[in-house]
Amino acid sequence: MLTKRATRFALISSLAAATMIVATGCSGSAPAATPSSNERGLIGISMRFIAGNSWLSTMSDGAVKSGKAKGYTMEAVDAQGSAQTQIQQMRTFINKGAKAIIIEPVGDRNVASGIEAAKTAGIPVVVVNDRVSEELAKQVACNVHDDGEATAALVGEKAAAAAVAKKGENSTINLYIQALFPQELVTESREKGFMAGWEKYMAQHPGVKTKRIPNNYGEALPDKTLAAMRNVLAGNPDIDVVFNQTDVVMPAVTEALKGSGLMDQQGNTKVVIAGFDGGMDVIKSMSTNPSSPVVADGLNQPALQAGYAVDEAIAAVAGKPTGKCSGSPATRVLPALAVTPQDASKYVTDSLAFAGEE
Amino acid sequence: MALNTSPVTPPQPQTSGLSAAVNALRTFTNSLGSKGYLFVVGALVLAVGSVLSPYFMTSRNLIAVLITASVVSVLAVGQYLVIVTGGIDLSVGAVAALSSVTVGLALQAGVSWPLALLLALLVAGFVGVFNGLMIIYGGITPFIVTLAMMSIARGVAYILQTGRQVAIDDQGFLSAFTADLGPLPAPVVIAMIVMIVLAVTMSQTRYGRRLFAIGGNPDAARLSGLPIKRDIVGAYFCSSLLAGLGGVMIAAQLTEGSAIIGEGYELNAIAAVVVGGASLFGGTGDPISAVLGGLIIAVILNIMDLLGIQAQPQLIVKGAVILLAVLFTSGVGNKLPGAIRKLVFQKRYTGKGSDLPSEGKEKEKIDAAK
Repeated sequence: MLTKRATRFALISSLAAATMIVATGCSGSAPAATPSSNERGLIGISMRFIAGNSWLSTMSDGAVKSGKAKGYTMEAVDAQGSAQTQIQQMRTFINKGAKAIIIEPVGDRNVASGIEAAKTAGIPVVVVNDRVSEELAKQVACNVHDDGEATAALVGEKAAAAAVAKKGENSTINLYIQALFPQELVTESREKGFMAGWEKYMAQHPGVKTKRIPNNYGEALPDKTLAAMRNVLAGNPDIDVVFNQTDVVMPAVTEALKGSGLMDQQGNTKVVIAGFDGGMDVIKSMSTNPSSPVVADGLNQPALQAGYAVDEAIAAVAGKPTGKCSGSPATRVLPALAVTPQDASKYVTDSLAFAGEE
Repeated sequence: MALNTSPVTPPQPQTSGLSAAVNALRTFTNSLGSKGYLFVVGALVLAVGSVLSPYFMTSRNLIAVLITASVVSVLAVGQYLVIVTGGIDLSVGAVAALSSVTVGLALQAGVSWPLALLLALLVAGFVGVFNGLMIIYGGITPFIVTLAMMSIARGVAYILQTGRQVAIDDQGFLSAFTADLGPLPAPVVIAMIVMIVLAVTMSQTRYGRRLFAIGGNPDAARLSGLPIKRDIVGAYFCSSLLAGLGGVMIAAQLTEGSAIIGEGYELNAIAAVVVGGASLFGGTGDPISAVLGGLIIAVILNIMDLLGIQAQPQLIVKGAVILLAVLFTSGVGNKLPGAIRKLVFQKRYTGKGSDLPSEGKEKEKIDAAK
């Protein structure tokens, strides 16, 4: 009996230990504090997600890189989508004597107590990317974010121009949006922006009719997008334009087009594709192929946003405003930018998964 | 003679015809067992789909549905092996993601595709053996072990991927898992081979019989001297191995390995198995029914996409289909109308102090006479 128990204990212990060693030994990409660079103090970064979200991990890495280059100790932590965790992380940063805290917030109101605690401790907070409620936004040093709707409008305009160039005046264009999540703010703002840009262009081309194919949702997951696209393409073999709301799933979109016969194996297609997020593989393919099927890609530049957030945090610590964060609530907005195959090469870099750096 | 017999046969041609047809259908489906309902439901779904959308019955659409369902089918067959023992494997989606990243990284490192495939399957198989050992020797329930493994495998996949895209451009690998093999695409052929091999294993081999025995009555199986520990570890090994194969298949379809694929696959696989008539308590079902269950769900989702139905109602329909299918494949659906009738009558008459309608009426008459 004793032997059996001992064997069981030894087995569990050794397997658990092996797992821990493998997990910790391989965690090369996790950004962490570097005490040796602790010259100007600590800036804490609490991200809604890091693990499993390449766009947000690019933002996190960008903030760490930017802060370190400016002489600060940077510590980035993953709230794993939990407001409670994020608030706890903010309190930990306060206890550690952080000079400033940057948050990519879990919810628009959920982190109020964390912001309040930092305010009480006299530590400036900068909110980046996602937004908090106006009331909370007024309590932080700066709100840094992109303008997704304006960026999507640029993408919509360029996609419309490419579609009209292909189909001609007095044609009907079948437009499909491969969306992210149903009834979700980012999804809706990108759709709204894209359609605004599309309609702006089409207003000058009254002979062209647009037929909307109902959205389908891939939840930013490649396999779900592939299944959704296959079904949509089966029912709509005459699709003309696809606005894919995130480049994370662009391989799924192109593979679905290939599977339906609308794209050949070399990637040639009559379908106009527009993307978003500036995925580096998409930008690279656009830069190497002037007649790329991806005619426009909206850039929200996570690393650049992170750099702006670090600048605003340092400015708040030093009490010297950058002059670029203004209004009430204090806001710094990333300029809207849509890349085309003609200018994509300017944004190609091997060090980032998503385009745009300081 | 004729005058005597004529009143016995009631003259209700339409109603009796319909009811006779329903009875005949019921008899036929009963004779087929749980598969009977699957075939009937499948036929109904196909008929409805072809009426509602002109694109539904096109070869392009049907092939697309089969390719989409192939990965979940492979996972469902593996999940079935575990469920038949009375266990559950929640880690299959994460293992699929891990094996997709593994095969992608191996191919990027210049490893030949058969070796990369072997490596991915070995990693997946190792996870399965780990699960089995923890359940048998660690004394932890399958739900907890595989729940923990779901997190661990996904975490390792994230670490291996390091946030970058793991693109796959090895043409040998891509054509092995995506090209057409005769009239059918490779993923469909792979899923069919897996299904047939496991169906034969379950029905014709001692190992299959032992798995049924373990799920049907674990104590009896143990007292009979069956190698329960080895068989359970084997079942989890097969489940993970097939999850790994599913991950490789989806990686080939997406031309990339990704740590974010396979989310929710474990639930899709479980849904396919239970829709196929297997009990989560173990000891019942078969792999072919599990695949049929998965196909029915995939076809219904396809029809809704073809009709442009929004995502929210689709979730409701999917849930309702799973519930209804399980009701009928488990045989409860047959008894349901009778049970509801009984419940209604019981409520009506128990309030008057009697269980039976006739008894209640008699009592009323006696009371009135008094």
